[in-house]
Amino acid sequence: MKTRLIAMVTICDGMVVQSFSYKNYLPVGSPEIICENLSRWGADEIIISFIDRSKSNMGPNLKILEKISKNNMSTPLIYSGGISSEQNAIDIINSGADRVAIEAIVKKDNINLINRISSRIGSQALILSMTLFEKNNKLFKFNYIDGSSQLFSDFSEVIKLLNFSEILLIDKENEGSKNFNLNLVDLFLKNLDHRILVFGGIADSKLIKKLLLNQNIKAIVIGNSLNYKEIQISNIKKKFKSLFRQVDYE
Amino acid sequence: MSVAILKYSSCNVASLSNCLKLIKVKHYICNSAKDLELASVIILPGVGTFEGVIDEIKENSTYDVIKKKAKNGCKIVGLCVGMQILADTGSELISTRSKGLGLIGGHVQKMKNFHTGWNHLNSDSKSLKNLTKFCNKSFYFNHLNYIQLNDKKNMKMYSFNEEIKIPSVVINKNIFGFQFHPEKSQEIGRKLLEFCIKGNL
Repeated sequence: MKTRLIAMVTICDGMVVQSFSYKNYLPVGSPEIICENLSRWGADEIIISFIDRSKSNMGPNLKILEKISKNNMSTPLIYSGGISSEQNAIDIINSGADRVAIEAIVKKDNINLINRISSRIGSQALILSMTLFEKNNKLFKFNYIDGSSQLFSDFSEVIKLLNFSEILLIDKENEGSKNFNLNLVDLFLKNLDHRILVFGGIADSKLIKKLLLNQNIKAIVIGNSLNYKEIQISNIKKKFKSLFRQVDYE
Repeated sequence: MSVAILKYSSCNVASLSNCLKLIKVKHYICNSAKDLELASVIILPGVGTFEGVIDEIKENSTYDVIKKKAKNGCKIVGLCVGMQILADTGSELISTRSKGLGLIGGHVQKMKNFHTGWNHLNSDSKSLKNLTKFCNKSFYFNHLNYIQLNDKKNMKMYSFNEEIKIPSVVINKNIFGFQFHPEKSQEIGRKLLEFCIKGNL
């Protein structure tokens, strides 16, 4: 199975934004138009990440999801943001997403919630998302809702109790840049042998090449840089022709 | 032709409905035995768990309608978990075997690793007809369980997840099972679904 090239669409206040370390945002355009383009250009999956929904307890944005799904969308959609119940996850799948990504926050309730969601939609449809950073060669997990952080090693045992398919590993410090921290992957895999999707500061070909060598990395997730250039997805796929899927036309 | 998508609580009904609109297939979405009776083609969508979906369709009495209509020649199309529930038995959430629809002889069981992403279809079958054009094309898979078939003769196409040969297209007369998601496999997936529903496979 070839490594997937996933497009990340970050949505804030109903608009797609270019994000810089989840601190600063620049508006890019309409979610449905951008997702339609990414689908047409041959993304293997598309993550739509609503970054303002969990913090503000607003629940999932089903209205925008439905609009995206109805707009000529035939690429698998992964939804993230504002999920706090089983029903939220079911509504998201019913509204046009194929998988959901839920933030791994260390709370007993959250562990139960993740496993309950998994038993309803299937573990294959559930992705665990975590925002990580490195400090003094140690790995920390960042809780973007309350701004706290904790040592990842304290958390890795909890993850083993959860039923899900893949982990979306987000580089907190480099999101919006071009310098994804490769050391995050090494430190992560020392704690946990799992299938991972990597995101945050990935645009450079040399970096992509290094990431593609890692067997645990099942997908490379790219955000900002895919939104600007029409041929960026096919350029990346052509550059690593044997490693990424080439789009099949009838 | 009256195409029904059976809606169960966990399924990706919107994805499938949108895909059918793109290929200009008129359809309706239902979850009652009465509405399902009117269908000449029944599509069982993907996303969910074997036991979860079976329990739900037993509860709303569509289980018996699907079985009866399949026996009378109605085309039944199962996608992903919708294909898996066509099997005799399955054990996804619990270790004991739960009864499926019994329209494909076999048992649904877990693999060691997830099969997620785009994989191509292979075939050894000589009776492929229009399926030939889909050989070596990539489709979107996302599952942990698969049907271990009793009789391999209905396995028209397969894929590999590591060492496991996964029945990916299973056809037995009016019963069609796709382990992948044609509705989410871009242009080639839409074409396959169109061929299947419009009777060209």
